[in-house]
Amino acid sequence: MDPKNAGYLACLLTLVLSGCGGGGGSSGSSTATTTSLAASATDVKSGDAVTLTWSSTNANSCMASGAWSGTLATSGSQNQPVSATATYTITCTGAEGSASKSVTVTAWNAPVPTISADVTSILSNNTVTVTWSSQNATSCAGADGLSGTLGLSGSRASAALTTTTTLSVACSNPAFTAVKASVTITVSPTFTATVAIRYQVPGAPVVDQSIHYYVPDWANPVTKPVPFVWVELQNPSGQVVQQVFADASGVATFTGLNPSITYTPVVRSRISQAATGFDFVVLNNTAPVDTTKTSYRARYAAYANPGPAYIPDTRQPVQSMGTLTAGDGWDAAQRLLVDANRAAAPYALLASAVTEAQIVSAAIGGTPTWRPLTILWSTKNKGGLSAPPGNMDQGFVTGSGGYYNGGGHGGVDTTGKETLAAVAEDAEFISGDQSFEVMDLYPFILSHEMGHFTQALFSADQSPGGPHAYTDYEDPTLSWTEGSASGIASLVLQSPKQNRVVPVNGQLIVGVIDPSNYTVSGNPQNWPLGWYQENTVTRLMWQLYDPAGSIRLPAATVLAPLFTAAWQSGPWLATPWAYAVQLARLNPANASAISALADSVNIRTTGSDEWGSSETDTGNRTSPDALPPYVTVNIGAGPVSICSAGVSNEYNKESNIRYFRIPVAAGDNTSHTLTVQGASGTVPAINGYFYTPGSSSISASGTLLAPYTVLAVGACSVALSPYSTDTAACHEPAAPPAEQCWQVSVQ
Amino acid sequence: MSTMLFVQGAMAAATLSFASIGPTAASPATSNSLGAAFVVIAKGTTSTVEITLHPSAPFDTVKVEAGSGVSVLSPPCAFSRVVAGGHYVCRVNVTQDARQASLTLNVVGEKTLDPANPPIIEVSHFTISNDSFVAPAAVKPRTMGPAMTRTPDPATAK
Repeated sequence: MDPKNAGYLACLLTLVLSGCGGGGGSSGSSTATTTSLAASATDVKSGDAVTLTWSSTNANSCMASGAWSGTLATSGSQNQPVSATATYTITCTGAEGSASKSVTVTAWNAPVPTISADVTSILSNNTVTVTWSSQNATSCAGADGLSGTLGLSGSRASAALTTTTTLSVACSNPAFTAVKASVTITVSPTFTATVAIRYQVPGAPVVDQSIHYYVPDWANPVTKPVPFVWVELQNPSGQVVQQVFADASGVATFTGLNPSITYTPVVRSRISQAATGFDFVVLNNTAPVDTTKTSYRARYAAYANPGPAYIPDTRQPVQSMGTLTAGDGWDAAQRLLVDANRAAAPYALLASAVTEAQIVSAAIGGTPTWRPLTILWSTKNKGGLSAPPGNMDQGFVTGSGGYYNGGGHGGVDTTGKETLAAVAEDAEFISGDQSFEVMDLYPFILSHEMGHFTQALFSADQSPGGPHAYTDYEDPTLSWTEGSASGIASLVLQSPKQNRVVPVNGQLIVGVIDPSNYTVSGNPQNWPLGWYQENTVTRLMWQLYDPAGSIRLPAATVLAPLFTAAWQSGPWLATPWAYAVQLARLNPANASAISALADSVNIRTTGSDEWGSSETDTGNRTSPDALPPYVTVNIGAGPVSICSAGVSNEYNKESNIRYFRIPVAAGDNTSHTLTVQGASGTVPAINGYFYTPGSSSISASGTLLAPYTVLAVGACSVALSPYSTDTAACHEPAAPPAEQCWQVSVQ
Repeated sequence: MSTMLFVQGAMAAATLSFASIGPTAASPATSNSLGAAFVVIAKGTTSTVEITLHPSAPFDTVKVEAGSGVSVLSPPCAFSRVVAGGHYVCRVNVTQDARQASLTLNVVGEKTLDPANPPIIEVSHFTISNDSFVAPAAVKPRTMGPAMTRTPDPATAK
């Protein structure tokens, strides 16, 4: 038989029994090719290796295919890294044909379970809903605070939780042990709540075309935060359960609150901040709580304004009570400002005080020490009383109120009447009476009074105070003190405009005063322009700062001279000249521009000094009565004639008193005698309070301060006091002449 | 001979002597062109007040208005076409509201300088204490002021 034919026959037989070589399979005959293939593991971690072991019979060669390749020995083993699920095939071929085997190895990545909860912080006895899912997992089960078999994904409510609990899901696959994912639910028995405190004021004045007046823009109010304000929570019994001061944004945060109690937030008109030392309070002086007390803080209470009762959410551990806004009290339907609804005023005043204190603190640098400030405000407060005593409990005072230096405001008797007993307390009286002036709708007045507070604490105030007007020619210490207080306000408010709300024909209208261009409600004014007018000082300070102006100094730079040691020690007084010259000295790069600007408003600065020695503007006086601002009186020289002017009780107008300086050598501790001789019938007074009743001369002895001692002389009945009952003590034989000249000498 | 210590703070001391019964620094100024002066001619439940104007600037109108504490003001007092340097006098009877501790009169001057702008208003105030007023003996308790309105936070509106 031909071998080929013999083979064909064998093959034919094999096909009958088990299949033929070349078609794969094994032969049942003893010469048939067989093979086996096994993997050391069929489930492995991705990247791990498996050992493939194979063998064959009656094979001459073996070939790898599938996830591996190449010629193989007819038996053996081989390591194969498995990065992904793979099928390994071996085909061995022998004389009788070939046989194949395959094995599949599954590569597993680590299970990746994820779990989340609808909330991760809850109050006690609440459930959360957890949601989980997984990858590469074949099974999942609950763990830690979650129990039971879970699907590969799903969601489920937890049990009611009473303590902080971790909820987990653990998932596994054939190659990996369980991998856990967790979410921790913070469970609190109490909640934290925040509440934001704001106040509402009308928008900037607009012209009401129906009456052709500027009026507050009631239709477009603005709200602003009340920083650092006192907020308390009261329980249903009215007991204060917690009290905090809000942050700089006016947000108060309470902690440890019981979710089963309804709380009423109450805001009180007091602010405090430990970091800055701010301690400002607005008190209702027409509702005394203890009339035996003479200090305002002990006598009067702060305003307290409640918000709506708050029913806590029983699930959320951090809650917002929302925003509480103190309304301005405007009734749009009746077009009336309703006193009973004027909640905003105390908080508007406090917010303005804080803003100013922050800006002044930045100008001073470091952490200046602010004394506590008490602001008296009431819807009944008004001025206009012709002479003291005012009555604080009833809310009426002389002038229109103002700043009472911490060195001593008047005491208060049991009826509220002001007394002469000094009480060390910085205070401001702010009018709220609609028939007088509403000083709380716009921040200018409070800012101006804060300017005086600033002067008293960190600068110098040598002004005689008293009534003053934009039409006046004023003493330079008065023009400086009042003008710079308004100047500070303009920098704080970033506007030179002064909005004053007064009643006309039963309506509240606004006078818009603008010192920067000497206008009122857009109408030019012929106010005096010079060192003798406070508006000029305000105008100068604004124009130095004005972002649209030519010099554009930062506010801190404009304010800097007020806070220097030189400013506080003198020997020159705080006047417009001292300010402009000091500012020029402190800013050499801008000195020429500063001086030129001051010169242009009749505060002579170019080539001058802090004494105003180069001043040429006499205001509304003749030269001998006005200039130089400081007459020099030398020790041992002959008498110097110094002339003052004015009528009885004027005391704070230009030339009512004249300043003189006595040069004193360093180390001069000897006693000197000052003599002032006036004309017959006059009574001279030194510094507005030292005089001999009925005498046209006065002498005094004492040591003098180097390098200069600065004093002032004027007619007693002019310079002594704003009130005639005091000037009567002068015993002046006649009314003072229009011009009073004094012979002044020092020996 | 009197003795006096010459110290640099002498001026400040003088200021404090004023401050004991009045503010050391008054409120910001306004204009004072009306030159208004007030004299109480007779004082009682109904007081008679004489108001004198020595204006340093002209006004279109000047009118005496009742402020707080006034229950009746008569007769009306008003002037028109007020000229600078003029002299104007009127007397008004003002009946005190017995519940108030004082009354206030306002003298309101008005002038239009430029019709394109609102008029200029100048107000002088005059306050008289009510000597017969007796404050309630009982000290007022601490009371709550007007309520604040609440705007819920959008995230936790309740």
